[in-house]
Amino acid sequence: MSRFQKIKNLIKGLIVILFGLLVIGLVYYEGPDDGLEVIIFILAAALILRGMGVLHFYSTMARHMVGGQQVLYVGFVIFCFGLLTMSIHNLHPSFLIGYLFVLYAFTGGVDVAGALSARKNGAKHWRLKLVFGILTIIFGLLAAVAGFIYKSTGVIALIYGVGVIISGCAMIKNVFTKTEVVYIQ
Amino acid sequence: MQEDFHYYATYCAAFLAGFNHEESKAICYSAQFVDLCSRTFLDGVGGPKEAATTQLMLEMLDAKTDLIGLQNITRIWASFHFLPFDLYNPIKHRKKKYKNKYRMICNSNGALVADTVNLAKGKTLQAVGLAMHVLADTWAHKYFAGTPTLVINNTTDYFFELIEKDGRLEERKLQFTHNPKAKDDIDNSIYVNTIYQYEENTVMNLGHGRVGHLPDLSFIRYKYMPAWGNYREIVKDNPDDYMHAFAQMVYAMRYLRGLEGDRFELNKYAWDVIEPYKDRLKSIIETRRLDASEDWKAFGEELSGAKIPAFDLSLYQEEYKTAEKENKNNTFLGGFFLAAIAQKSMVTKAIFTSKNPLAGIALDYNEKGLRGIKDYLKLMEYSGLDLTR
Repeated sequence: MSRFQKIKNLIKGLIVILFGLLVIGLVYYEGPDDGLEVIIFILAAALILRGMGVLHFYSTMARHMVGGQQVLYVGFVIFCFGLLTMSIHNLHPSFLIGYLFVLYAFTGGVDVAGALSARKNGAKHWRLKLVFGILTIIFGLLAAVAGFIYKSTGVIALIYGVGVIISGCAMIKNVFTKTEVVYIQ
Repeated sequence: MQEDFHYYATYCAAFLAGFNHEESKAICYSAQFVDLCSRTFLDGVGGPKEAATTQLMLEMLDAKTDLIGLQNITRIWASFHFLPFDLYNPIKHRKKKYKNKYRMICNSNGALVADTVNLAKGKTLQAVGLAMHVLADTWAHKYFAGTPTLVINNTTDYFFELIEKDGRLEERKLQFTHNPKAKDDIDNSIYVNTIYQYEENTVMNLGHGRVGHLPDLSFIRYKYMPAWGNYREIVKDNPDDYMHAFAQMVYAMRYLRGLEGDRFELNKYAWDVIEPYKDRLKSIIETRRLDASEDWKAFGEELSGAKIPAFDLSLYQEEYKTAEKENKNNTFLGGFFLAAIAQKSMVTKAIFTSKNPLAGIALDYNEKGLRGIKDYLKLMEYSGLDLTR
């Protein structure tokens, strides 16, 4: 990682942690509804930025590609979906529950599969990855249980906030971790 | 290409080029090993991580596609499996970012093929085998790039298999399934490929993933529209490409043995050497099946009169693991790792010199001081250079 990339990722990590703290803070001081609104705002902003990114990709690269119009349509749909999400004031919690569960289950599943494969192929370092994978899946299950069984929007917002903070911490950790870059002549 | 060509066919080519049975075994072992020398494997034997020549599927899933991750992926796949054909292609009216990807497209008989063969000249049998893997893949993997890229490696639904029937080529609509557990169904022309992802840099868009294993099957002929082709149809004739790959391998290995002059020439093939076996080769290459190992093995054993053992990944592991630190480079795997680092270094430097950042920075030791010294020392030793000069 270059110095510029490190600074960029450090700032990104701090912003992400700040968002997470904001969600948790709102849940505690203003009630779960405000926390949910912040989550909706983050989701909507992410979708809008993503849509803009895809449209930029189309204009610079994908328009030269056979079948590239598909990228244009995808960009528009994501962008419009972001605008739509931004305009919603009372999002149904089940949308967020599903989102959190899929996100954590997929991330954890990939980690577990990667750890098992590494073990099968004789690698030494696989245990930590396996533990993180399992913990992530448990985290996703907790979000689903809290949402679907207890119907607690406060807990959903809390879990989302903690998840965001962990992501931010991971970004910052990566900045200070010695990256294995291979320098070859 | 897969084990049938990289292991058994390479054995046959090495033997026809004049290597003996033991030498041919070492060469074909190294050629096949390129597809298995992952970071996970290197972690297991305690080898240098920079010698990785492939990435396992789950390593790929885990790989970050930020700049550093992309460069790591590209260094591996462009150096060993999708050698770029023309790093200075003068394509016009495109952004630099697009040009960088376009110039990574692999094809046979590019300048880097000659550099790859020359790099193995006077080196170990492992280096010869590694070079043969790279050379053979330039035929099988032509038209795809060894870097994640949607705008180059994607394809459309326009896909037809060309099947020979009564001396004519008939078209049959070719279909794809995305289930990784499914097997290619050659009877009904249903093949497994990676799922469409609209993101440019996802690993799903690396190499020939979007057309599945089609480039690895020697018998198949098909026509399609590559993403980079500006709606032009491309006919991929694998039997012809595989025959050329075999003939070029024989020529390259004869050159490496000093039988073909002192300069490796592109577009040159050992047709005269393989002429007596042409019908046999054609039959092996063109028979419709997923794995031609048995036929290649039988052909190789007929040529040498000796048994070709099945590929065994663990064959040289103990030797490397138990060797003293200063002797590791003298083991079979040690020799392979050095050849791999040298190849990766050469290709990375060529890409970097063309002002293309996709494979990362190739540091020049004399200009940049101590960074990269570990690899540099290894390469100095490999090249037989005097460190005190």
